[in-house]
Amino acid sequence: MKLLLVNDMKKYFLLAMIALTSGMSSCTEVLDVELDPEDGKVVVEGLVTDQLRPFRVKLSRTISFSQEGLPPAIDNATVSIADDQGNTFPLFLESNGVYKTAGAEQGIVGRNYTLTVTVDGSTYTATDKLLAVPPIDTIYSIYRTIDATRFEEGYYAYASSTDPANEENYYLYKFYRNNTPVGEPSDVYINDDRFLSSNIAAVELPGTYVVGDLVKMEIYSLTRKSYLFYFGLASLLNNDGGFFSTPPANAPGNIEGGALGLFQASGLTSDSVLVAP
Amino acid sequence: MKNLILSVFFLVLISPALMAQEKVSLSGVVKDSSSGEVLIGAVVKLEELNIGVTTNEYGFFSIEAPAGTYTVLVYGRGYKKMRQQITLDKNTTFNFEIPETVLVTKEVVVKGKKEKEDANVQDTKMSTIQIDVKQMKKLPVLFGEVDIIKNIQMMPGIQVAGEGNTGLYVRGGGADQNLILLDEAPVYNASHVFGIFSVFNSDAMKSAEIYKGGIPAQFGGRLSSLLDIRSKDGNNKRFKATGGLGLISSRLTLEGPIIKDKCSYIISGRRTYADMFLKLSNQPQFDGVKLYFYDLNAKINYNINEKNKVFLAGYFGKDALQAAGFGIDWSNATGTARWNHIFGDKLFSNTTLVYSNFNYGLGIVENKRDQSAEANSTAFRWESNLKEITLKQDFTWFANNKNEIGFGVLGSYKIYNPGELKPQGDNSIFKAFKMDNYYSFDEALYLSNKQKISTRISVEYGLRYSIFQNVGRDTVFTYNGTPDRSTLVDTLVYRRGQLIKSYSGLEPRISGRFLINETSSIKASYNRTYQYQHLLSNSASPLPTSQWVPSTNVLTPQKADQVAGGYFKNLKENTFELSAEVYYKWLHNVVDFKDNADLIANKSVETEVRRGKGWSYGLELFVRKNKGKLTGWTSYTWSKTQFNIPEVNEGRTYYASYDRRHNVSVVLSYDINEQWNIAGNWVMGSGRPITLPSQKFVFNNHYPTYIPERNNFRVQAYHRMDISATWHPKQKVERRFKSYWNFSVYNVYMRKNPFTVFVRDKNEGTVDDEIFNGNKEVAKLWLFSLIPSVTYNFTF
Repeated sequence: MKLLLVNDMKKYFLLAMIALTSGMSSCTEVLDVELDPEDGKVVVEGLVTDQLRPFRVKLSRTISFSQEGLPPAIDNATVSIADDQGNTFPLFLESNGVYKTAGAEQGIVGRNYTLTVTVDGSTYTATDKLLAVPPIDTIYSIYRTIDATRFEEGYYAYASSTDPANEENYYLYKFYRNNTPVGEPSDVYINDDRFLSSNIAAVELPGTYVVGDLVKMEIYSLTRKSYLFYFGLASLLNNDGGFFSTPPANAPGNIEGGALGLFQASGLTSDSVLVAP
Repeated sequence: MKNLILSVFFLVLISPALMAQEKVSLSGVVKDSSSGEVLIGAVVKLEELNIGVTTNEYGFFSIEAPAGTYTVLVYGRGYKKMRQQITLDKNTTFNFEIPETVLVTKEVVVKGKKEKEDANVQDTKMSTIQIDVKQMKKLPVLFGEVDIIKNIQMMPGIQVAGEGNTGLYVRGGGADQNLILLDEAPVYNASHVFGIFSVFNSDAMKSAEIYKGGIPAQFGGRLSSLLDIRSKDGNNKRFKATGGLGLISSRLTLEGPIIKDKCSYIISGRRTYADMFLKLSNQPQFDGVKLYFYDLNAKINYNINEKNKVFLAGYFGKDALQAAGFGIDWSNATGTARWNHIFGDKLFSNTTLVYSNFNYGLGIVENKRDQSAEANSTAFRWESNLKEITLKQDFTWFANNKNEIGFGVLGSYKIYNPGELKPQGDNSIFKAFKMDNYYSFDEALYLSNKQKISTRISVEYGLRYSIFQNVGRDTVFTYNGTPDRSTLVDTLVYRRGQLIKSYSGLEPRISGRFLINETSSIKASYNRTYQYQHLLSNSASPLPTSQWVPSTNVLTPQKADQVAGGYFKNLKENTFELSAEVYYKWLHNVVDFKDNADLIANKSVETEVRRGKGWSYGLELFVRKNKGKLTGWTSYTWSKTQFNIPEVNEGRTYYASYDRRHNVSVVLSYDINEQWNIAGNWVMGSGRPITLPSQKFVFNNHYPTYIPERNNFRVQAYHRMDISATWHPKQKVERRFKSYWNFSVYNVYMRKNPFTVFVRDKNEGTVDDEIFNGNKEVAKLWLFSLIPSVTYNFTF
């Protein structure tokens, strides 16, 4: 809801401006800026879930803002994950900076997981707790026409879930159309449950669909620390330069030792529906 | 404290006693003879003695002289000089009504300009600018809306955050550090349409004055400036209607006597009409679309008798925007009830009760056409408001011709409702949620004196003592060190009215003038101000959702010290006013926010706030031409504003987001003949700092950036030229109905001034699209290219 506020305010401000100027002006243009290049920093993207699948860590480096192309992967690291029960899981390079456990593993709700990464003599560590996630009750689709709240007709997807009352919970949502992420790379869907009732029914998912599409939704439980990272990430990715949004700032990760990114332990639940007429 | 006040009092009392001589006083009010509006700053002079005084903000004056017969000269800028023989054998009350000099009958006449011609040089006060409401109406406007705030932004020492933003940044102070008073009632959010327009309808306004420094001891509560706006009293001679049609709004003002010469009313309204066109369209997308703002000002003024005068004034204004199911609205309401009473001939009393209420609400509305759970699951409304009620008692004692003593007390009670979530309908996924209110009391007492020490030296000094109490009912968190979840040590519950935290402070104010000769002077001032209310705003735009909060056990008051000095010169019989001022300002305990601060509906919002110091210094040059066919001003400001706040920008000093090194304004207005006036302005501000990333990376399917430090880059300079022409068609003098047209062109040479500068993906599309490559670019958004507008104005 919070992100909705900021982004919608921006949208409606622009809408108001367009109405005022009758589309007279209001436009964007690329600026030519010279920014100082800097040395690349290590970026960690780690995930442990309670689903039976390999633990996965991706390592890369930052590149200069104006540099073209994708950032380089780190293929020479030593990576391992340990839980608070004394179990250690070594990870092995698969390809392109992606490290995985040899086989499928399953995180356990309530345990703390610690990541240790060594790159070129520097060690980076991070710890996160795996919290439970409520199940998705149902996911379905409905055909809808244009009305006051939507400008595009088509199939829309809806989901229902529950949220334990009197607890502080944080969630990350991911949506897929035929196993492809829905939306822009700047879309981050998160929620804290401060404002939510325990029965979360008939919530519209992003995107419109056609008959035959597979709509999939995932919910990840987050610790507060991880939530704040995604909150920062969403603010940064949708930042307008500080006019309506906050001054741009880095997403606060949980990696100790000077690396960017997040090592995340999550309960994971998912459900999907095939859009039918 | 008490001793200090007493000793100041004694000083003042002794001086007249020393020159005890049998004196009588002449007091009264100076008014405009055609409308009956009182004139502020008019001069009343006894020619034989060559002593003069100026009228105060209620048009009142009091002058002392030995008994005798005198020629009293009364004059004001834009008014005919009037001479009157008066025999003073006892204390005498006499009201003067003076006519205007120029025939501006065809125009909406609004007085407000400081009528005293040589005030620039003669007045003790400095760092103060009067806005000429009349001249303002000839200048170019955006969308046909004459705007007092936009005019102020072209004055030296005032910074602007961006295109079309009505936020004021005065000498390095934040947008929340300005006390904006409408008829002495504070206006908490003075913006329409997120800051594109201000809430002040110029047709209803009489005068506007901004104090950048040397704020009189009578006023307090904000660090950086006082913007004192007073509405018109209403014509007490005859009925008059004034109105106009503009590009986006229409205005109508009605005023007239209820009892001739005694009691008058004025009612003034303005409303936009963009939404009315949308309503004509029958498309379902425009269902429930709202897009409007309006203002309503009303005032009743009653001169009961020579000694008593009361008025009631009210303002209500609202904005509403709603589209695609999302809506936001905000409104300001202020009310003022005031009683002026004159005790004897010298003690002027002013009792004022003010009320102010700021509300905002936003949410997703229920879908009227579709009652299904799917269409209404996210319906909610969020509401927040701030109420203030203040009682003030001010006295001005015209002790003698050398001392004018002001003193008074103030008490204020404020209720802050930070917000309440209301689920809408039965299908909402939200639950009801209410943040605890804050309650606070403010009290202040002050004593000041305007003293003419000699013909050359004049000083105005005062002391304000402000007290603040944050009281229950509230749940209060205490922290050990920097407020954060991890440093939370205790949660305390306070009963209704129970004191949580109290602060107080002494605020000395002093300014002095040394007259070099008749046409030039030097002035200096120092003032300290405290601010007990903080605006939690983390964006440059004046969003209604920015929350005002009082000082608490954690949020200590903000404090500022400012010194200023200047040289003032008038040329060619006050045709030109010149001034050069320098200032240095220290800001203590200023508010900023930690990175990624979460200010929305946060019950422990103090954990997001960081406190530190700021400083600002600058040079301001100003030339204004007041008379003749060509009038206008030119100003240049050089200034620098920086902050150092622990945990913001990793503790490194950074520039304020409104820091601009150079600012230039040129404003010219030329009367070609009786029918035509042309005007133009050019404004320039060097680039303001923004935050840009140095690096980028990949995280999942997101492409975030890395920010090395805050405000590390300067955007291109802002500059813009606007022109206008005002046409008064030839009309018979005796005809009551008069009209004129204003044609404006905003941004004549179509400069694409950045409104925001932001980072975006070079190629739109999803991660899996062929074209998406993670490349990024910096883009600017500009709002207004060339905007022509026309307004038709009439009066009868």
